Amino acid sequence: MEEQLKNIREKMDATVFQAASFNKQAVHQKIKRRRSWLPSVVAILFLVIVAGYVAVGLTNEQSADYKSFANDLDGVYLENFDYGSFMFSDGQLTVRSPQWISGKSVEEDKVLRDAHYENVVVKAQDDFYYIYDGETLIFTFQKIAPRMLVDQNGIQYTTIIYLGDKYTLTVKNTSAVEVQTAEIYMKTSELEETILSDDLQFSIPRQAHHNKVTLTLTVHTTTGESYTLPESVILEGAYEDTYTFTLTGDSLEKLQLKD
Amino acid sequence: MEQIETIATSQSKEQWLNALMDEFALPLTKLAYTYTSDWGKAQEIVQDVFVTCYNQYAKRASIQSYKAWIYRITINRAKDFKKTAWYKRIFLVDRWLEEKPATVQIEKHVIERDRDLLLSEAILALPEKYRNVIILYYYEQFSVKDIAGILNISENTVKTQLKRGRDKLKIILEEVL
Repeated sequence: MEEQLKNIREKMDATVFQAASFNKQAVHQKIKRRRSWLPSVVAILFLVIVAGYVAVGLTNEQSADYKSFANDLDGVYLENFDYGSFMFSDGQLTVRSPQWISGKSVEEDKVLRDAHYENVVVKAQDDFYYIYDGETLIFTFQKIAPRMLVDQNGIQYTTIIYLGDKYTLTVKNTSAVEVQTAEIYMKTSELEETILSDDLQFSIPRQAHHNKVTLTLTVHTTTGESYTLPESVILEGAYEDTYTFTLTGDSLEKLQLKD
Repeated sequence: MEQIETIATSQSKEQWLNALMDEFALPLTKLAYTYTSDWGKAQEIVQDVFVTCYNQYAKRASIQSYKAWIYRITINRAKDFKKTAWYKRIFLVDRWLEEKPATVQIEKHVIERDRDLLLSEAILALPEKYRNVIILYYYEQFSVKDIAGILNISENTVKTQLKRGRDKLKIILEEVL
């Protein structure tokens, strides 16, 4: 056995590890995304406090692209390496202190302490999640990206799975064409699907990961004509919860979809 | 060795990150794959590892062994991934299916594929604690001392797990060969 294991690197590389690859660019993109997000931490914290506690009903224009639903957190594991983690499961919430000491300086009073809540209710409004244990509000999160939340202390937590399995794409028809129904042909590296709509609002499935989504619109007019727009819309990342496009053009063949 | 020096002498944060990725991206992705059985998820874990590294740039001088350090982060990250509901939903059933009828599956492989594949898959099918030490020792060629540091266990435990891992592999292979 010892002998067989000695050159296991070559054996594994030629078999089970044969498909290994790594996209370095994705790391740079993640860093860029976080970097661009960082300066807005203070603004978001301010919004959490103001919008969350003072004006709950106020529509949050700044983060209108994100929408929270109470069941988004079912089975979700949220983590910040330096501050700890949350595990939502079957109406229970387990809070854990950080499991790995990174050596980064942290705000001690914001570091999570181990706790377990058994009667957890999640309420969602706009892009906020309100976490209750029974009737006691224990945590508040704001959704700032499909896999990123910030808590009431301004600490950011991430999760591997998307919060919400769909995003909405709305087409505003400003063209001269009267559209009765429409369909979107959606193509990613992982799937192809046609989504129908009779009000130009499309619910697009958000897969575990797809970085590029190509959407091709076909419209069916009230006069019975159909037209597939030659130009597809490409969403790089598809990270928002809502997208709005405008349909323009003064005839069927001149229809264009603009964002 | 030359690449490690490049990492240590990198002049900027970006250069440092790129040097780290050049050296470790692929091996770490393979390591993460042993946890996820999914290349997409493995890549995602390793991307997050490099984002963490990037944020640790200021502390690079205190890193004694880049390799041990980054492997430890990856293993911790992969372990966290295994706690996620997504993993539990998607993978536990598959893994259970793989573990339960291991003999049946491997018998098929004997016919269809070669012995290298059989041994490689047998390693991946080992319980995590044995698989970890086997991969780190034989594949990555870490010393027992380094493995103890990475996994935060004693050197004796590493040696014991190596022996038990080898014994388990031997049993699996004897059953089917």
